[in-house]
Amino acid sequence: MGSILKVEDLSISFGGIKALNQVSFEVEKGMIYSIIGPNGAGKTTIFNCISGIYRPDGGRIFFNGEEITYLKPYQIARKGIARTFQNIELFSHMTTMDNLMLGRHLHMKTGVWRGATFIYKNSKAAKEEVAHRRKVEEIIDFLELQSARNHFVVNLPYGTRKLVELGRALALEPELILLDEPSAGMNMEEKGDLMFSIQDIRDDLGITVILVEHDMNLIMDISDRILALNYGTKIAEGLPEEIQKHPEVLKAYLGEEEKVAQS
Amino acid sequence: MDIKRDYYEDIELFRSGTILVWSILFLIFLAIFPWLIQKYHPLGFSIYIANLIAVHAIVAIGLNILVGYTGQISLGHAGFFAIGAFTTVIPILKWDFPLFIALPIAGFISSIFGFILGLPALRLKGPYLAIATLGFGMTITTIIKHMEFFGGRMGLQAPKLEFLGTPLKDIHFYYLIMAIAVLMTIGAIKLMRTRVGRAFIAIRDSDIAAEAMGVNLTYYKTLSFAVSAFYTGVAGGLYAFILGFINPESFHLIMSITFLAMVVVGGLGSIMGSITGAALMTYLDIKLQAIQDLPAFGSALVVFSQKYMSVSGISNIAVIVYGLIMILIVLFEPLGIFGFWIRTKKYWKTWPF
Ligand SMILES: Nc1ncnc2c1ncn2[C@@H]1O[C@H](COP(=O)(O)OP(=O)(O)OP(=O)(O)O)[C@@H](O)[C@H]1O
Ligand SMILES: [Mg+2]
Repeated sequence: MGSILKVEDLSISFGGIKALNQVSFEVEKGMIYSIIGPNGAGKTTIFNCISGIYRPDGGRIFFNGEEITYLKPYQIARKGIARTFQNIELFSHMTTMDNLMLGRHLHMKTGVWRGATFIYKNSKAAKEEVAHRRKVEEIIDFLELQSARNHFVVNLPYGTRKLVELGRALALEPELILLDEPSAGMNMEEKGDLMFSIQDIRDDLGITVILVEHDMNLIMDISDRILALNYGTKIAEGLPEEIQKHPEVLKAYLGEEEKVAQS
Repeated sequence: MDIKRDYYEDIELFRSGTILVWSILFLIFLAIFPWLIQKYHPLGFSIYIANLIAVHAIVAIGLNILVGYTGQISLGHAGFFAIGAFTTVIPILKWDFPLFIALPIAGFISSIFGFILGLPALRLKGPYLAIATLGFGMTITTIIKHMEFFGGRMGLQAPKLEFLGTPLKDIHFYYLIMAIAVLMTIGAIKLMRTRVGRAFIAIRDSDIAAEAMGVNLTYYKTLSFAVSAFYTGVAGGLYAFILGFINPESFHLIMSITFLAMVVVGGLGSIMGSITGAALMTYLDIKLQAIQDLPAFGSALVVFSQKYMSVSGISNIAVIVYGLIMILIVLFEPLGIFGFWIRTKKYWKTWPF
């Protein structure tokens, strides 16, 4: 078990705000690694840096020992990192099937000419399309999305859309998957199912998971290790039971509650 | 739960028997149209309108790939149309190229320009991209106008087409255009259902997610411009032979806007919509030029126009009615004619409940 992702002194500011301040952590292969912290702590920003959407001001990111800090998002996807978004970024006017098929983009080859001119069931483009649809069907079965299969995703309930986004990321067959609050907007039952799915993703599909979540029960149950952030700074890192008792973490979350109580 | 085992159905051209039947009927209609129409209208003019509609449909499909499917904008497609027209006519005129070679070459030259125009599109969005493409369209016509090679201000006469030494008749040219239009329509439908089309739509719906899923934005945005320009260039090449004469002045901004109007009126992101949009706008444009011939109403319009809107008479009333119809369609059917069609279809499916 080597480290799959290594983040060194990651820093980024927006205007005057230091969204991340020298954050370092390391994720081992096969882990479910969680990042927690109050609102605005910088969790999503870490994801955006890893997936190449933001260019950090300082620090380096290594994936399987190879530096990926300044690669473009599509290049990072090609390396084997997939993600979901906190505020669902689906292709809303495509069906569930087509959303997942887009996840197969990197594994497919059909270009303009073949795509526009295939005629027979046995043409290369058609064969490829059919093979990948079969692959996608496995993911649909895995996440139990059969009933949403042919619906446009705009029309789906929030929780289902979250699952479709997860499915799309899985369709990429990544080595590492970044999940940004996957359980947001789900009811208890859906959350339970999701928890099992995440474990299956790690155990059955062999994908390393980095998870950002607000639901502490879920986090403590399934994480192998946890990173706690506040105001862009790492305040603690360790096993769930260590984090649960960590004074800085308690303070950060207590402060949060006081703020809520005051307002 | 619907269990799907034959995935080929999803990408098949005719996804249902109904579509197949209608498509065949439509093809038969295209085939016998000249024969049907000649009993009621002069054949030459009817064929001219049909040809124009087919060419506009090709442009509208090409533009829809860019605007409706990829979510970019272009106010410069008259530029590609011009490039297609001139680069088809010149090799035939000067070097005796056959049409079936000149036309695809023109398409490719046009798509190279599309690719180049696509590069600024990587940094520009919405209104800024609109202005950049508008500049492109105007530049192209200006350049063509000032080069003797392209016939300068006077333009070029399209040569008579021949096939194996015998001159091509109007009716043959009609079938040629329809065949090309049908093939290009099928190509677009297939393309939009497979990998490249999905990447285009993904960019439109969420470019961030598309990129995070491995879609190279630079490549696919410029590719969309190139494909769109290819369609428009081929259409431009055919257009030159419909008119018989090309002049840089005729590829103006209004033409670019009319193309865009066809796409929006027909329905963004719908190939069938592009065809209906092109048909409707082309037909209206021609019919409205004779609006004064309408019984009673026509002469009233002329009087109104002369009194309040012009000294010269009728021409502006046609434009105004044209504009009014566009506004009404977009106002009441933001999804275009195709949106209306989808709703009607739903209505009939559930009728009488
Ligand atoms: N693109 C941006 N422009 C300006 N500020 C940004 C940008 N992205 C993030 N920030 C700022 O960086 C800080 C961290 O934001 P981030 O979204 O990472 O928080 P988070 O931990 O994901 O919070 P939440 O739990 O609410 O999702 C916030 O102060 C936010 O306003
Ligand atoms: Mg966040």
